[in-house]
This record gives sequence, structure tokens and C-alpha cells, in this order.
Amino acid sequence: MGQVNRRKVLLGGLAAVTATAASAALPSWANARTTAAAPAIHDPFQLGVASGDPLPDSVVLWTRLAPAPLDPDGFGGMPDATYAVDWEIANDAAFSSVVQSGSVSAVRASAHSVHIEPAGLQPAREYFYRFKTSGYISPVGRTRTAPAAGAAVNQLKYCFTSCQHWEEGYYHAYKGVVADDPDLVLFLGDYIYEKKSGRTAQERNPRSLAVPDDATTLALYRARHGQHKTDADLQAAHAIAPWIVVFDDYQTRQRTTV
Amino acid sequence: MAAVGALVAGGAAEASAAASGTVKTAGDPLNVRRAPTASATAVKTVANGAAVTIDCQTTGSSVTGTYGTGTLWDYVPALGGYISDTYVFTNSDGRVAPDCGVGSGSGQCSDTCAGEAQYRSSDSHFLVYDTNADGYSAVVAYWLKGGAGPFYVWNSGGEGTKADKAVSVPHGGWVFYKVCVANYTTAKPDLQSCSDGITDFAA
Repeated sequence: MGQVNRRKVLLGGLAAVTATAASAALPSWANARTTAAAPAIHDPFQLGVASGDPLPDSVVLWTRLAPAPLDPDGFGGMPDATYAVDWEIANDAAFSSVVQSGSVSAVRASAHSVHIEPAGLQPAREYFYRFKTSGYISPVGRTRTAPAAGAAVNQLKYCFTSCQHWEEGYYHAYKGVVADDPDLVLFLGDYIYEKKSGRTAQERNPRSLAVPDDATTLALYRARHGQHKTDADLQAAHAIAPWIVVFDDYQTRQRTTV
Repeated sequence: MAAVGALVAGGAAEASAAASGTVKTAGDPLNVRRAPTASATAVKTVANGAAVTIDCQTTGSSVTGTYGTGTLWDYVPALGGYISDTYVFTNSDGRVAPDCGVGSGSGQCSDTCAGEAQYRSSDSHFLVYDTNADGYSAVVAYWLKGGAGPFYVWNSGGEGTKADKAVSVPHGGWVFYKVCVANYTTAKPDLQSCSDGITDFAA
């Protein structure tokens, strides 16, 4: 077993359980299919975009191709094929000044999640990013790199959030996060819950899990995570700033005792 | 200034990879069913030897037909329902068309098909059928983009009735739905015997 990479562990929080996000870490057979045979798809950017774990010279960029994000099989409606995904990082939201770009393969083994770790970005800088595949362009995300080590920082504006049970409250607080225009969002766990709400119907909001089974399989975790990611306000909060996220107990089976 | 607007949308091609097949029975007409299970209502029949255009395929109940036993069902929009792939010559025992949920319409049954429903993608309507005098209403629960749902389409008319309701889904947008039975209520219902759920797309 190789050394545990803290960034990849935290990334697991950001992408929750969409498997190992880095396609480079997948076995060679996972990339064996060619994109030439990839069938046409509907707009796959139904889960928005996200960035996280900023460093002075890098920040993780994320999206996942899921034209049918609530499908119980966890594959988000993606055919069993590999899709090339182009990405761009720019200085401006109109992408008139692109600073980096590239292309990666989104594969079924990782439920077509995309994980980019650019290198050589400038510290304490705002950047904009987006993805493209199969003729569709993603929403634009804004992110920010960390200050250089030891640099003087006048202000760090961050928002904190946690414990977002789908069935126990709407996510309108994220409108406030977006309005606050933070440099960073900290998420302290329970991004998803492994089971449906135990509260009475009167105490719950009208939203329900589309796949209410207790999350015991990768497919169920992907479907659960995917449904959360459909929330428009949550997507906007991910698109406004990088997040740093950690797990809490409800994200794993049965309130794991630690 | 490098690579101005390099990510240019190439024109979104929407999923369509229909296959063709030929109905092959011992001579009798083949039932076309509202959902991919032998328990679902037969909405019409198709003659032996008929050519069919299969928009998508999905797994359902096991059927033994001309070409053996299998759980694969073919959705044929022109016929308004599903036929067992075991009665269709497609030159393959495997998949010849995409998984259902491609935006050409679909149908599902609650557990025992006491409730059945179809999503008509051409004009975004749900058709909800109650096929059993079990005291329950048939109901579709559906979810939409943005984190909204479930919304409900009820059929409380009793056995043998149909409810037809337009639902607002933007062109090309997805709708995920399940077919269930429940006691009618204006509040949040206690859904029972739901289908697994499928995503379809408005034309």
C-alpha cells in the first residue's frame, strides 16, 4: 500500500463517494475502451462543478458526467463507454484569457467523475474554470488559490457549513453563502446521510430521496450523492469558491463509532 | 491572448441509436405491454413477422419465447409499449439499443402492476393507470432538475381508469419517476410498492 495522500482523502469528501476520482489512478483496463464508440448523450453537466483543497499553486477541479443523475444504478445515465472531457482555467469568467487547458478521460469505473489537479497556478489568485464533453459546456466555476506560504494576508473570508440532510431542510442558506462571496467554504461533514430521515412527515420538508434505501453499496452512495448535487443552491455555492471538506459519521454506514 | 473561447459547443447531439428487429412467434400475434413485465397490461398486439424499430432496451420479467428465456424487453414507440426480446430477431442475444431512458418515452409498473404509468416525452405527459380494485390510488412520484421533488400525478379514479396530466419539463430536460400505489392525500403520501424508477427526457 502506498502512502496515504491527504489531499486525495479530502477529495474523497468533496466528491463524496464517486470512487477514486483521479483517472490516472485507475488500472489500465479501466481506460481500455476508446471514445470513438461513445454513444451520444444528453447534457451531462447536471451536477454542476466544484473546486477544493486550494494550494498556492493548484486547486482541485471536479465535475461528473450524469445526464440522468438520480438513476438507482449510480451511473447517472452514462453509457458504458469512455468520454473525453476538455477543461479550461482562465483569468476571467468570459474565458478570454485562458491560462491552462487539457483533456482527460471520464470512465465508467469512476462513474464518469472528473478530477483535475492543475500545477503552476499563481498564489492567492482568482481563477475561472469549465469543462466540455460531447458538445456540451459545463457551468463556469470560480475558485481561488491559497496564499503563498508565509505571505501576509489581510483578510480571509470563509463560510462554514455542515449536516445537510436532504429531507430535513432546504438548502436556501447556500444563497447566503453565494451572497457573502467567500474566498473559501469549509464543510464539516455529513454532506450526505446514509439513511432517510427518521423525523415525522410534519417535521420534514417536502423533498424526499429518490432512492431511499439505506446506502450500503457504491451504486446507492453514488445515487445519493448525485441527488444532493442536483440542488441548484448547493451547485451555486460550489461554483463560487473552493471548498475544504471532511467526513462525519452519517456519511458512512450506521453512524460508525470512531 | 491565448485560446479565446476554446471550448466551443459542437452542437448537442441527443441520444438516438435505434435498432431494428423482426417479431418472430409460432404464428400468434405478440402482446405489446405498457411496462417491461408480463404482468403489465397488453395495450395492443403486433403480428408475427412485423418489422419493429427498437428505441431502447431494459430488463424486466423473465419470458420464454422463440429465442429462449430472457429478461430483456424492447421499447417500440410506434407500438406504444414493450415487447419481450425473446420474440424478436435482432441478430443478437445481447443489447442492440441503448438502455431505456433515452427520451423517447417509457413505462413502469408498481410491484404487481396494480399501478402503471407511461411518460410521453413528445409532449411531456404522464399517463397513470389504475389496474386493480385494491383500494389504493395509482400515483407517479417524479423529481426534476435543480433538486425539486417529488411531485405527484394521482389517479384516484379506481380500477380501469386513466389519468393524463401534462408536467412542465423543459425541452431536453430530465424527469426521474417512480410508479407506486398509495392512499390519496393532499399531503405527503406514504408510497407503496414503487417501481425502481427511471429517468426520461422531454422532447
